[in-house]
Amino acid sequence: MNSDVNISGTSLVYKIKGELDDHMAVKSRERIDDILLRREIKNIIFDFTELTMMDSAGIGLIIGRYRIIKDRGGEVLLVIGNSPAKKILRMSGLMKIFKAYDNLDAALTAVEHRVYG
Amino acid sequence: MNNYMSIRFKSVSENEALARNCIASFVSPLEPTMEDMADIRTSISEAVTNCIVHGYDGKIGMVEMSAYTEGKKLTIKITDRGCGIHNIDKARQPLYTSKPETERSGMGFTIMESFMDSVKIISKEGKGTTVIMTKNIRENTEVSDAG
Ligand SMILES: Nc1ncnc2c1ncn2[C@@H]1O[C@H](COP(=O)(O)OP(=O)(O)OP(=O)(O)O)[C@@H](O)[C@H]1O
Ligand SMILES: [Mg+2]
Repeated sequence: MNSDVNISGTSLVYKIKGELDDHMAVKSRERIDDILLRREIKNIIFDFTELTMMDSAGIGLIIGRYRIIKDRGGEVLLVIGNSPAKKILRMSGLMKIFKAYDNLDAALTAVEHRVYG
Repeated sequence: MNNYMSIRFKSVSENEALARNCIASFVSPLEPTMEDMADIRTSISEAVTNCIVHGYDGKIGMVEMSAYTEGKKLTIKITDRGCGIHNIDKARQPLYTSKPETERSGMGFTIMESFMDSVKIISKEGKGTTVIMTKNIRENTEVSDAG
């Protein structure tokens, strides 16, 4: 599967490579929600830096995970870099709702400061 | 050059990539910019996904896709023989989805309309839906790596 999962403290880093369409969104949803059930995750960081395409299924994936995470007092962060997904994220207003970062380190630093600082 | 192609495929989500790749190869002789190519791929994805999740609603049917180019103008036609759309004006509205219980955002048509030059929807309840999209491929001024 074209995705990597990494857990850093209470944050789940989910990296998707290639194309995020309906097919990939369903698979990602299953994989993330399974981890959310089993682990004490507060924040989800979507790493889209190696994404080459995203359609509306990606919007659904992000908002759906946010609904789960917000009940735990956590948040969703987006790492976008130069991904073409930027256009859709901006169009759909998601860039206004979620914090977006250029690289993963910046997003990880941001959550760590919030949790421990 | 003017060109034409057509394919039919099963309404399963694996074929969303097939449809995107097929059109990408078809338009590549027109040397679209990376942005135009991404816009086209995304729009195809939206239209084909709608056939699969709404038109056939998880049941198996055939999706038909054809495309032609006239000079720099690309036209793509995507058809399902599924349930059809009751109210097209409503379906086009941003954030409208008939499946709010699933993770749909109702942004599909809005994305197609913003990424393509024109989007036409022809639909009949109980008969199916056809979406016709056009895009004029812009002159590519991106410096190629080849030189
Ligand atoms: N091929 C189709 N057959 C039947 N109904 C359709 C078809 N395409 C779209 N629709 C209807 O139009 C509505 C709007 O479509 P649109 O793609 O904009 O949003 P969505 O598919 O519901 O959500 P999203 O695309 O954001 O996942 C759909 O909810 C559905 O009711
Ligand atoms: Mg849709």
